[in-house]
Amino acid sequence: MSDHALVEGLAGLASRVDTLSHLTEGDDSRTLEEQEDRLAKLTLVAIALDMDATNAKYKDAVSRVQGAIDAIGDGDKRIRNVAQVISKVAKALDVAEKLITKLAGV
Amino acid sequence: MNTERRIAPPCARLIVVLVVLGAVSAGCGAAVPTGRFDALAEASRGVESKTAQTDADFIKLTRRFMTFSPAPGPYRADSFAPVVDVGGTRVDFDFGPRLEPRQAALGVLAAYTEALAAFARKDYQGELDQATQSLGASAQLLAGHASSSTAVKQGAGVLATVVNGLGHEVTERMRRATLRKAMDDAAPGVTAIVAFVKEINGLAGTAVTTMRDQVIRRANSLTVADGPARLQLNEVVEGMIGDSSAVLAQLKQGSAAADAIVPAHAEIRDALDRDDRAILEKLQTLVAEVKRLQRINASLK
Repeated sequence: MSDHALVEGLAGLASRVDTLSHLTEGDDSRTLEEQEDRLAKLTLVAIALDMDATNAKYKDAVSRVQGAIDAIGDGDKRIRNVAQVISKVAKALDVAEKLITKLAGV
Repeated sequence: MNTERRIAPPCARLIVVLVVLGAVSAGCGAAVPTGRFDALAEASRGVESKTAQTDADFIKLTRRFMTFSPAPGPYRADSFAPVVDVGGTRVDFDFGPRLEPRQAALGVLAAYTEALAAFARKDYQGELDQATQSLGASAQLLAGHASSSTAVKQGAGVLATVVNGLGHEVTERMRRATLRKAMDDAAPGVTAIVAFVKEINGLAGTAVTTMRDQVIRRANSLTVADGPARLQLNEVVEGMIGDSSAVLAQLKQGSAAADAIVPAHAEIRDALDRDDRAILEKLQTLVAEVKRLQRINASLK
């Protein structure tokens, strides 16, 4: 596994969440915007950090982020599954934030 | 290369005798073509110096990004330091340490190509010794850096070993054979360093895109009335977008220039066997990529 898989996943997910936030309205849109903001910050910190790709928590974070990307999918599905996407992105964010704050030593 | 120089072959008489006897073997006593080694060294040093410029522009861009994301509360000396809020905790994202090993890796590569050029020119006491020392220092920096990959550390080690193994060969034939072996041994190291440089350029590109998109998003969320304040905001956002595009172009071109070093190195190595002076397409590509990189940097000034 590349040690940049998490960076690439976070950046890709941030971009997809941003697109989805423009396709939705109201609370969903605002929640997605907040999530996109958190994902962007995590991406920047993840780039600056040196990460061990063999670490189980790292692998879990990559898997959660990929799961959220898969949940967004493409086409019409993304509109129908917004609640599910928000939930998956939230879980991915929690796992990634815990990992990154621990690695950053804060 | 019309500027290519050749060292007068000390075993010329031997060649004449062999030609007369009809028993000359390819490349036996031919002079080592030094011009192409000089061009490779110049291009490698060019990639190193332009990458340093790109990194300076990248760090400036990070500062500009922070003006849109300062630390909350009243201004302090560190209000614009590269720190963001992650899960309620302020976390540092200084890219400097991430970029340092890439610069050291490029230093190793440049010193290696300079050592080859000096060896080809028989400049043992001057540039070869200087390049050897420079390579040793860069390799040491790289080895001691936490974020250097194992592959790039090994690659730098290979180049350091190769350069340390360059002797003070007396005859052209021995020098050619030494260069052949050195370049064969060094090839995996050169490839590893170029791969590492491209990897870090890719990460830097992701950071630039992320910062640019965040600035655009935040600017769109600001409420500024039409008038001078709006014009000022336009200027700041336009500056961020323009500088982001410029740094992204520099990173892309830096990767292309680094990428061209591997085939150029292989082509020069093969030319030692062929002993031809035909135009080296790969070397020309490398020189062209470095020139493009220089133009991109120049256009920013």
